[in-house]
Amino acid sequence: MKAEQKVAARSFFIELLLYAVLVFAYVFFVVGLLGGWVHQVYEQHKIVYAFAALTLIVVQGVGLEIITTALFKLIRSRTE
Amino acid sequence: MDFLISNTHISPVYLVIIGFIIGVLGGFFGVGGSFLAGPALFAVGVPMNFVVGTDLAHIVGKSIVASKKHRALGNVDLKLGLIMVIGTISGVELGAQLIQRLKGLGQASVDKVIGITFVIVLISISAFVAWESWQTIKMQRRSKRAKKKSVKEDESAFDHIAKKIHSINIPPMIKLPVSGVERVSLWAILSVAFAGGLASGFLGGGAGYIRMPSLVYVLGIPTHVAVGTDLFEVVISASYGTLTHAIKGNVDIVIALVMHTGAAIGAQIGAASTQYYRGPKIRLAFVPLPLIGAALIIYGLLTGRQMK
Repeated sequence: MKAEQKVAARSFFIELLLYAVLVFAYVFFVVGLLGGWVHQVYEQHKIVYAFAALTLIVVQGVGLEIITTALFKLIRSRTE
Repeated sequence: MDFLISNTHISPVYLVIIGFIIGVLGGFFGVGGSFLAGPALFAVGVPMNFVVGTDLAHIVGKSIVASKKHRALGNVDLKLGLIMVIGTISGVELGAQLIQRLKGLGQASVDKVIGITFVIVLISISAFVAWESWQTIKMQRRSKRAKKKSVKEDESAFDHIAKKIHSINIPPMIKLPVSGVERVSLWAILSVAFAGGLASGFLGGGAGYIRMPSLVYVLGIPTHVAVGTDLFEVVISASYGTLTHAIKGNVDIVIALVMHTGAAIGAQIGAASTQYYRGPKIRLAFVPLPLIGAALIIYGLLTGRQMK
């Protein structure tokens, strides 16, 4: 494997590891702190629940990736 | 772990592993993976209405992650994706209307007609993609041209069909620079999207198993761009589906979030892996996916258990 490919693969796996930690932390946060609220909204306001559900899944996908990229850049700038 | 919304008890480890497998497949092939996620949720006791809605919610998250990754790799044709949304929504509506008509004949008839149609479509796609990608790989070996080309430059033994479609001169004609298509009729794009939408509305799921090969063979879109653009389209259609199903109370978002932890990581790996494989090899690896879906439906038809 070429040196550049090794560096790219290492960067990808570090970024993936950071992302994985954030994704799991996010789920624990939602289940632990928002679980009751989500269930309550589901029972009482289906339209609010629908938008909240979509927001929660979009944040998990996009928001956490943006944070990961920012964190990764910060770590790289400190180590270089 | 108890999931209060759907009133089920499922191991979160199971959900994360299922999500991871579907994430890798989705990121690599541009499919939603409902043909695997549906049976996997149903098998652990999730009611069928929650299976459909929750699967869609998890598909949204996974497809966002994968299409974002594909966009960074230059594999998403936004113009093509946005045009296709119009055709897809019309197709989904017609598919749903057809189901309503079939319901008049009774639930057993609905299951049988949909099941048999689905099996025929899936086996046909699998056989055709296997034949075409194998022919292309053989053609590339003979000419040894593939070695000179970059991984993303695509070639297909079926290129002449896409060229014929491009030569159909029904205005308005569209240029797709990202996909490398000089001229194609808007109606050709809408027809492909409509067919995918019809399959989605009539047979269920995101219908990536139809859309991805159609983009490659009918519109002549390079495989990498077809995968990325299909995922982008899935984000929009699955978001719409999630909202409507959630309003009807069919989405357990906590199950979707737990599944998505695995799917988000898997989708990143799947999407990143596409840059190391040529188009025909990606298409050849795609072949078993529709067959797995077909096997699950045949099992459901024979045993009377709904697996989709």
